[in-house]
Amino acid sequence: MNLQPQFARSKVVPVRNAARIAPPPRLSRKPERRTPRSYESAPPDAILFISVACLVAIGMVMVFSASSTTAYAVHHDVAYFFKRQLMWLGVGSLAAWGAFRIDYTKLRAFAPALFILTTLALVAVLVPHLGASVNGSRRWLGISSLSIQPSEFAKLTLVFFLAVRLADMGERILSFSRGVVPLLVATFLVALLIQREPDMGTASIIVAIGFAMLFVAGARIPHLLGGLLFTAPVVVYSIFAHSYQRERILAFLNPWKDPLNYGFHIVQSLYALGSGGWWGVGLGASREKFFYLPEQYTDFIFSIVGEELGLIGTLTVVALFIVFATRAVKIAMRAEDRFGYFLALGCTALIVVQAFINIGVVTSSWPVTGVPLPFISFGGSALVVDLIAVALIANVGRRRRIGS
Amino acid sequence: MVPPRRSRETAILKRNFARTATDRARWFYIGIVCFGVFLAGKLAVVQAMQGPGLARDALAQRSDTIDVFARRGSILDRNGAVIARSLPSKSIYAVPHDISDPDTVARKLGKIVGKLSPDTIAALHDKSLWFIWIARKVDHSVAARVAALNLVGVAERREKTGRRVYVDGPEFSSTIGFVGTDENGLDGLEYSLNPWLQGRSGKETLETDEMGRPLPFGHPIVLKRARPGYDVELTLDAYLQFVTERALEKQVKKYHASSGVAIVMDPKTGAILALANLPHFDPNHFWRYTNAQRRDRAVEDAYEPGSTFKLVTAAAAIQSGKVTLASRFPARDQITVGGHTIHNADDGFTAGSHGTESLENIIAYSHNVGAAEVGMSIGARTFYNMERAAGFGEPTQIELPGENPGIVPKPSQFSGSSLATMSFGQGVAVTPLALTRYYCAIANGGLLLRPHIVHAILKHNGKLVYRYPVQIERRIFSEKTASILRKFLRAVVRYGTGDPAAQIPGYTTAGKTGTAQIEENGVYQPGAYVASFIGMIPARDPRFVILVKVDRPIGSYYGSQVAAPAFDTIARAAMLHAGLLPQVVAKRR
Repeated sequence: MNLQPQFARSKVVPVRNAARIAPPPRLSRKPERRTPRSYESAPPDAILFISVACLVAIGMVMVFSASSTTAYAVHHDVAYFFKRQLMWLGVGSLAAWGAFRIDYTKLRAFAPALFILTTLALVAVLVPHLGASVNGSRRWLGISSLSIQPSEFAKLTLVFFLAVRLADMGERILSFSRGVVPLLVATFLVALLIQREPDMGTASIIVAIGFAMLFVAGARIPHLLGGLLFTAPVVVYSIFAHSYQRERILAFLNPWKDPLNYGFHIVQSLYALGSGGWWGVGLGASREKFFYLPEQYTDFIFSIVGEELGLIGTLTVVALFIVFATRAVKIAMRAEDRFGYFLALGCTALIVVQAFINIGVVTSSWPVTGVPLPFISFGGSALVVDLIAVALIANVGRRRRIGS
Repeated sequence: MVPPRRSRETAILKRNFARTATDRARWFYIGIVCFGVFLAGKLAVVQAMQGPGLARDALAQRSDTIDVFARRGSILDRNGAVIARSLPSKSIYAVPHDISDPDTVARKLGKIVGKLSPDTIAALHDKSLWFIWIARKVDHSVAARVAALNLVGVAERREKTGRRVYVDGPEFSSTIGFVGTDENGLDGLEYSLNPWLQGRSGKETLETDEMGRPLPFGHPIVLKRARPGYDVELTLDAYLQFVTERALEKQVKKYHASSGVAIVMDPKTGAILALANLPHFDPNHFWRYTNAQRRDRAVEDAYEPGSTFKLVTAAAAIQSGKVTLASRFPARDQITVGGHTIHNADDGFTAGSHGTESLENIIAYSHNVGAAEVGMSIGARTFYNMERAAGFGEPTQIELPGENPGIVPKPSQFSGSSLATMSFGQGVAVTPLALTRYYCAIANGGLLLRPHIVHAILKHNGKLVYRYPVQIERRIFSEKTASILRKFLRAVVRYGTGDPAAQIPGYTTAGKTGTAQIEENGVYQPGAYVASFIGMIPARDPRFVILVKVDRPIGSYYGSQVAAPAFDTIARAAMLHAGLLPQVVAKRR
């Protein structure tokens, strides 16, 4: 397999004559394209599609199962959340179809505007009368069930923005002050706004995506470490400023120390996973979802997967994410242009980093941060964003230069 | 696009930039796979290795041992109509911690379960509380209405004991009694039959949710099976009870009386068919009444029976043979015995001062002086023996609690005038029930029965467990004596004090009026009387013995005026209810 990125091999030379050979008889009244295409569409990556479809299918079933208790108790309709998730799957599929069909290279021009728009939305969320407050954090814009979470879209926007900048920048990424610093500043700006909501989980995901993209762009390791060193005081301060936050974040080290308070989430999550054993207690038969495990259909849905489907189910999900990552990275490395390369890798990071941090949290390997599990957790904005991200990866993979 | 500074290192990096990026993508991928493998390992540890232990802890966390409801037995009348029954109940509680708007919640709940107390409302505002009761033991329908409000932080739980419902309210109340909040019988039959009625709640270990509600697919472990209580069928007849209560109530109200008792008894079996007390109370809300209102006066209160007790004197006289139907006693309206002057009542049936009268006349006209003369002629021992044989001075052993044995002084305790006054019912105390039982013996030919109010004990599925038999205590006097006594009682109604108040067209009745003074602290209270009537119907072969007693009537105190009308009403209803129609009497021209 040749893993050499295509863009590195030669300059793009439009082959105008290729399209003129034997023009097909046109039946439609649509006028003929003035400048013929220099790219053709390859069939979409089947394995990528299947792995994501499996994850989405597992997610829909598990959202129905895990949310049914809360849905019935609060809304007297077991399918309350399932129906909403189904609606968002529809919206997400349409958006993904659009993201798949569009010529992604033409999106480059929108990146700065999109970035500014997202930043404004994140600021708007913090304005008292615009942002809806749930459980003490302002994350939503809009009303009730139709609200959107700008921080979810911010992930995608940042990936997009960084991909454009990195593609334009080229070797300049090797420079600290002109390459690494501006991009890190942009990343931290977004992360800081999200952290103010407060939403430490998404903020840390933003930072992780930023560093991952700089890393794959070839930024020098000492530069990245310098950037990390710069963030360290902020992280340390936010952890140790308030004792409750410290206890909460460090609870994963020993959840049994305080199982009814700070360790509660993790202990219940481990109970759920442990109860599942090898084969699970059976689909729908989770006990922990009966109000023992908090956030059982959002951030801790993976515990319910573990309880109902067992180790077999959880390993399947992990394997599906690795299969997805394998195909996504392969597509990125075969990308026709630098922008596609960065876009695909950024989207991959967006999904896989979230997935593994989420699984890390529920297995008590990582501090408790509110991160949803892509494709599986309940949440409309996240599902739409994740589906768009996958579509963009597939879009990158589809683009083949004619004749290559 | 000029690199910041030209150095050898930068130049090399620039040349190899594409290579570097590819390597970085590889490292990125390797990082993902490593992280994935790490997580897979961690999952294997948690789920496969630590799994069984965690599963055990999780099961312990959600297991909850709960009490299982056991229904308290119903109380039924002789025809199976429900008098008291228990319904499964629920209690409503709140979790103040989860309530965001306590005032709205309190207002909405108040509309359904009744206004909440200030303490409860204050507790609803206290965010640190996780549990408070809103309402204990409400109907399922009330709980359903609360559930329909769909309030966050308000929930319900089943109770192990039910909610007692007394279908007829105050009817039967003093006999049936009532239960406490834990369905423990506190008074009346609920108390005395508690061992039969009470169910035994069971215990089960269930898988429950965080709020303690059972999970839909949990596997309950039965630690102790719940056993519902036995149903109790009484001898009371709901229809007769209704009629008796109304008839008594009418007389008590008409004469502004302080209290009243009416008993209907079957003389052949000793079964009590109706037992009414006034004042009565609503056992559904027993705590709103005083002890005096909740008294079962028919068995708990002994009173001086007055003239109705003359039948004991007569029985002793006839059975001992010391007095015959032909015996004559001097007719007088006043006599002094042992320094105590005895008068006949001034009721229009005075004896005059000349001539003689028979025992039948003494009974029919209710002459105190005559009764005293009869009593003195037979002697204290004969009289006392008859009193005791008739079951006075001992409990009747009916199933009702708190029975008063009455007061029957021994001959050795008699003063100079005791025998004379006791002969017409002064100086002895008996309960209405004991007196009714004695009249049953007259009605049934001389057999003293044990009165009973419980007919049968049934299992919750209707299967018979135990039937209370007819119990004959002893024979008091011969059938001959009984028929003579019935003749006397018939005479009372035919031409004596009971004429015409106790006469019922189409039926023959027999009975005795009674008017007694009420004694308090050894002094007879002026103007305080007990007016009573005990009758039987039909006179030849009585089916019903009916006692009506009205205490402290105002306006009149004669048994014939105050009590006999109630006897009339009850007796007619009882006969018709038994299917015994009145016989047509040819009108005199």
